[in-house]
Amino acid sequence: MLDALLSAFITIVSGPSILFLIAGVVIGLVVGVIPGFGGTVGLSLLLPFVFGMEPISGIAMMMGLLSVVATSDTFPAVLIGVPGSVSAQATVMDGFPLAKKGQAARALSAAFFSSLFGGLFGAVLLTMIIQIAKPIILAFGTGEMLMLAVFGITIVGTLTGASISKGLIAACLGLIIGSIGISPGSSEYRLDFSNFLEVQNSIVMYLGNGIHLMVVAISIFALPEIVELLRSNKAISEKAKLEPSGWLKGFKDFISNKWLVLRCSFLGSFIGLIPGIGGSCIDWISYSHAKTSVKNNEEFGKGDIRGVIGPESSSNSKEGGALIPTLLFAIPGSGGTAVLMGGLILLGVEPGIQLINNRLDLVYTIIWSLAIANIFGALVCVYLAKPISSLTTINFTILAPFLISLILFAIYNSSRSWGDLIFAMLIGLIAVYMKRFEYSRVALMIGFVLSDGIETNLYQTIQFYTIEELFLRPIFLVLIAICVLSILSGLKIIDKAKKLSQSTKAIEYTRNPQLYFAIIMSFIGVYTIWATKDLAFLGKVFPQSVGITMLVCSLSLIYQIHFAKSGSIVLHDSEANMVNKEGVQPFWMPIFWFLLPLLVAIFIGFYIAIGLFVFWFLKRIAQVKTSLCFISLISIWILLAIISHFMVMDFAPGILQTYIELPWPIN
Amino acid sequence: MFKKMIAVLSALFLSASAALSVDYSGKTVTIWVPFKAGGGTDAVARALTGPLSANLPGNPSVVVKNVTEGGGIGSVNTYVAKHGKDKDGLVVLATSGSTQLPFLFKDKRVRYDYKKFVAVHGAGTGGVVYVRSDLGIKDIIKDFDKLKGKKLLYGSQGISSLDAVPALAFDMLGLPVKIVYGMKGRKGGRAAIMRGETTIDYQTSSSYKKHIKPLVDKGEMVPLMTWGVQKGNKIVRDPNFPNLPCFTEVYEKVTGKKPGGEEFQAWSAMFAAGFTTQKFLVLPKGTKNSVIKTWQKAAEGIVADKAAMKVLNKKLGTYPHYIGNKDLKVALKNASTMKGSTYKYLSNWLASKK
Repeated sequence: MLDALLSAFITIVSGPSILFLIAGVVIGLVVGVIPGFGGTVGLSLLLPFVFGMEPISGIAMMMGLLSVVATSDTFPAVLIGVPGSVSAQATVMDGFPLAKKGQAARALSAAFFSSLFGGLFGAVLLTMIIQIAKPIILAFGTGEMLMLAVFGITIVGTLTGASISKGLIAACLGLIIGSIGISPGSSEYRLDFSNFLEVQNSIVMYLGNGIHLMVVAISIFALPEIVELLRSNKAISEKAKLEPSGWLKGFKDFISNKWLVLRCSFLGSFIGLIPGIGGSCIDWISYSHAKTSVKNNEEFGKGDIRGVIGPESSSNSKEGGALIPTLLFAIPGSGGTAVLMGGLILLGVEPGIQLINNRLDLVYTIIWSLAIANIFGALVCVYLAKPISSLTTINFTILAPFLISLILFAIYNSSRSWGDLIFAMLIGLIAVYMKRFEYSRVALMIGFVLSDGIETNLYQTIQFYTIEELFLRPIFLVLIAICVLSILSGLKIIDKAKKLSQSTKAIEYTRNPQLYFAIIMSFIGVYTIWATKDLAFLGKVFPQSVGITMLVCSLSLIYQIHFAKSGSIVLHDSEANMVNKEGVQPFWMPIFWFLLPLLVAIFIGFYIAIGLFVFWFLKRIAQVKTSLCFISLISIWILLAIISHFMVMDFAPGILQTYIELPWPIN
Repeated sequence: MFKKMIAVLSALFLSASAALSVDYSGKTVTIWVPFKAGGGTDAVARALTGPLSANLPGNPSVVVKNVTEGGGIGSVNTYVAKHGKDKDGLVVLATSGSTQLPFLFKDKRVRYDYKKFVAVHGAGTGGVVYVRSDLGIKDIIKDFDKLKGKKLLYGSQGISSLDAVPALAFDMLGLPVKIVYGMKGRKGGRAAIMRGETTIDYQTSSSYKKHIKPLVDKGEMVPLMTWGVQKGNKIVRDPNFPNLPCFTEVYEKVTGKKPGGEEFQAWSAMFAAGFTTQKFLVLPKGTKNSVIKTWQKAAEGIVADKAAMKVLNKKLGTYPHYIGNKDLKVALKNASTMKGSTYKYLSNWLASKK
């Protein structure tokens, strides 16, 4: 084994493979930095080049890309509050507040070191257990997977705010959005508006495939943040000067939290190992773990460095874990590894038991690529951390149009459909109000990513096992105990949050908008129950149960809001703190700015519209010199054209494009 | 005689000039793949890019475009809307069983008419049914009654998918198989039987060889039968697995009847769409004849290319490739037509399975 390990190392570093590895790392860094593009997208764009390459070089390039995306996606998460890819969702929670405090470099460097450690941890684990992992993976049946998903839901308690009803409503909303599309139990289309629209209507067709994960992630996290930043018309960092030697401080944070890093790395690899639950929830699980397992957690969500270290350690270590079932059974453990598997097949490397038995050298090549790419990527990122974090001192109004352009472009390319944009705006709008009235957006996200896992596994578990059989499975029992513990610690945290919010005593702004929002939520519950009524039992039992829970929670919330005394915890409106501030834009204004380029794009297509939007925004809102506006317009056009060309992506067409044939890129 | 010669010569001249008139040099030919990058159809399409470029006149660059908007069905709808009237063959559509079965099932979302496509290349695959060895079954025909008495669970990705083929086959044999839905692809079904939660499963030939054969050698799984391959009007043993009986053979032995009737016609139609000709490259019907000929000729060139075939066979198993206008026409028809009464039977059966 050692011989094979060593010779694989020499094969990589001595030949041309190392150059391909570096190329992969560089592309991965870029892909991770651009908001909305993750490893899945990056790998898909590599596939045409990989096909026909010499296997070792191809593997090195793909692994180079896959292993650094989870490192570099931290940049936008920390700097602008937009996850670069799904694996940076939880990093936003504390990373962005740290950037606001002027500590972006510290947050970034702590994140990169944690990510580096996580990546190496995953590689070591992969080396050690790939040959003996089979029984471990097979011990996790549908019952165990169900409990893992349920555990994911229970952590909502530890992450949500003071009101249990609001947290539950948000989680239910996530579960409902997640159950849009084909039902796993009965293969029926659900909640696709086919109750009132033709089945061939493009909205119905779009919803039939469910809403893309990245669309939800961007719209619920990025939109409200950008809207808020635009209103205050300031730089992201509240301090004009960034603290010096932030990266050293970040490294010290990493060292002093070494046990947390180790625990979260283990969590990441371990959950990544179990195919079926999906990587998307790992970040939240380790964030929750970080929050509940450390002392003095009051600052979590407001800029605690441990809230960055935890999820970053796991988001990178999960790749090593997810590679195990991919290589061993050809059953990928995450979105990224699924595409990687496609790439391996194109290279003529067939994942599966035979690969482990006969071509261990190739397996070690994969592992070494993972390790080397991690080291290389993290070093580059640490080096770039300081210069890039100076972005946070620029007035946000100048950055905004570029950011809005990239985000809209990324959203559209989730499935190249106007539906992506429409539903991103809709969910984003709900998220803006959720932020305003303090509903947990994290709860929505967790509900969304676990929806399918809970429904499918619940349904399958009932068919595969009797209750007695289930309670004879030790892992199942251990997981139940973990869930109970998680609920208990969640209740404790909610209690703490209640006391805290009572002591700060929210100023009452106005009760009615909060009431209306709660009523809209109850309508969504009613709609879900009504729209699924004609489906087969297996198609409707899950969404209807969620809908009923949502209805009950929102009715109780409506009652609470209506009869609450002034200063009660159910009342919360961040507008209350905004009304008396000067220079603040009206609430709806930035939302309109977001919608504006899309409204124009309906007519003339996205590419032309976005250039005009950048120009108009810089000129009118940011009041930049006309010459600079022109340069910006040209540069956004060039930038988007380059991305679109190399990533084989499209721009949303408008009415103009349906009538007239136009050359690329304005087609 | 003279007249005949002129006719032959002019025909030759015409066809030669027609072939000559198609020239893709400097152009980009796109293979429209209605599925994600890295999936089965995508892998086949990508394997075809090099050989197609080499075999098409003018050696155009051939690229794969994964269009997933609206899923498999929506993407083909979009293809028809955007390129349905193209005549130049610059955008070719790669289809699979998941494009053909919804058409057969008359899914309301389907806006494409399969008969309005012209196939330029077709390829098929097969499948192997196997059980866990702890059931104690060695041979499906000899141990059939024993098999019937076992707890049989099958992990399915949903009845309106390729999994309709095994489900109907089990029904026809009278095997009491409980079907559990919600598996993520055939991979999910494979994981479930490895965990021991299900007991019976099938995999396509290539997946069986890669992932199940090693388990059979270790004594963990036992193969029972194949779906067989279509030969003329009959379904015969799969030459990739000559020692395993095919489904029709098992049916005859255990029921004592020849397969027939509505149920067998329904099964045969689904088998054709899902296995025999599972993957087609098609062009819109209005495409110029010369272009179609050029494409069909390029496909012939690929089938003659050993290196290209090695990659394709690895993906699909060694099964016949359909080339030549006549064979392709028949193959496309078989994969996309079903008698009215058969359809009625099938839709009732599908409804009973939900």
